[in-house]
Amino acid sequence: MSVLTLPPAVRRTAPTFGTIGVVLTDVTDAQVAAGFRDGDEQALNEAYRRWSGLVHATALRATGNPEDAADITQTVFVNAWRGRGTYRPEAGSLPGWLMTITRRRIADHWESRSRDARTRAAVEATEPVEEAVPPEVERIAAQMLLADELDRLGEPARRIVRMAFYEDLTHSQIADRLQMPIGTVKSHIRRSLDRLRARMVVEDVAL
Amino acid sequence: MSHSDPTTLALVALGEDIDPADAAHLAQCEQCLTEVAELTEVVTLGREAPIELAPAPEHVWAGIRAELGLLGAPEGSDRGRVLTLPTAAPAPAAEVPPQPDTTVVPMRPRRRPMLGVAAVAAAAGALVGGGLVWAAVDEGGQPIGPQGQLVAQAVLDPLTADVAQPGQAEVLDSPDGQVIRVDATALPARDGFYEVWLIDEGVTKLVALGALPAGSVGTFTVPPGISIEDFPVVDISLEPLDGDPAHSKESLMRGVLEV
Ligand SMILES: [Zn+2]
Repeated sequence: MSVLTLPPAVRRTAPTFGTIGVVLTDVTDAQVAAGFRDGDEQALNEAYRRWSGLVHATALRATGNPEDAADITQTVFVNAWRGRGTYRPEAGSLPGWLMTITRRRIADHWESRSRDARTRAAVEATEPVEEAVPPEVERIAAQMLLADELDRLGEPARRIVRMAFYEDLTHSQIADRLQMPIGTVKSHIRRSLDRLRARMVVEDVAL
Repeated sequence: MSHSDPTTLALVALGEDIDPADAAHLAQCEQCLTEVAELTEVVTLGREAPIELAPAPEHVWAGIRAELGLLGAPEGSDRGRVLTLPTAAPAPAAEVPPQPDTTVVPMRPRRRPMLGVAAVAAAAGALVGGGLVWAAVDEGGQPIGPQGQLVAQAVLDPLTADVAQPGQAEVLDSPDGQVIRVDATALPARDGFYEVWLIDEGVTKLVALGALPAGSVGTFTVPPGISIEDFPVVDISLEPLDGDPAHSKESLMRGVLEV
């Protein structure tokens, strides 16, 4: 995939522009969450912009079916908006809450699939088919949260971590390629891993 | 006994070789080993994770708004604010009803490659709370017959040096509603994908129309509830495959529809 060879540091960061148009980068996740709870439609827009990828990618990996993943994503945001009164910002982050809803909708999905299978087996008087084994949703959720957090790392940390994760380069090879001091690369790696680990803990995803 | 350097533990988690002294320490230090185990789990998850989160298809957002009854709800509060567009905009007085308390914020000059939509974006950011209309529609590109009646057109000026030729946009009345045909055959193939947008004159709102393959002509439905009078600016951006539905701020072509 050519994603890694995109020009560095250009896409997500726009430091010279401060607030970015339709997306206000200086609006924190917490502010989006508060606006969401209060029924601000722009906060819904922003929540969708920030976290629909997380929800959708999780649903896609868990179901393996693009249509089901799209349906689940839609249901999650509709559920969340309608149930926003029950969201407690002090109890957890909005993406964490969205992911909780996502996991439930994925569970519903698998439950209805196995129910369908049982019904079919009964109607057709065949041997009960083996029930579909639900995927390890918790783990998938953790993978997606990690991908999301990785994407939020600033440059050059994101680039460095991606090279270490996906290109299997050693820290000295990375330093060489990026023409950076080895110590800088090492400390980016360590700080990034700490940040990724912290997100896993914050979102209360079982590691 | 001094513990291993924290960065060394991170490298162990990544599977790198370490020197014998650190290896000897790790063999007997529970604290460092625990640390390595936790970091290793992060690395494992990271390597299992997709490089990019697969973005939801565009119709999902439209579906959410429709299901919640939010479709077509115009965010009227920004209507009175008018920005001057860089290109010769069609006589603004005729297009935009005069409003009291109109704020005019000049856009940056157009001849700044890559700043095209960054300027739009920055200006919109200045209008605090500029709302986003994200009325995404079905995938673009459905061909329409030539019988549509031309109602507006625009020349899309290149905004970067590597686009040599201008593009064109035409709005046609078709039996199924208004469609916009965007000719961007001059756009080179690049990483990511091209996306076509309608932007309002106040540059507070964007509507994504859909993806446009490089070097092609695409036809998109103008979303119901969106009028080209309200959204006269046609913009083509280069979008990374990062799952972020927002405009990338990297605008390659833009023009203003003239009725
Ligand atoms: Zn130790």
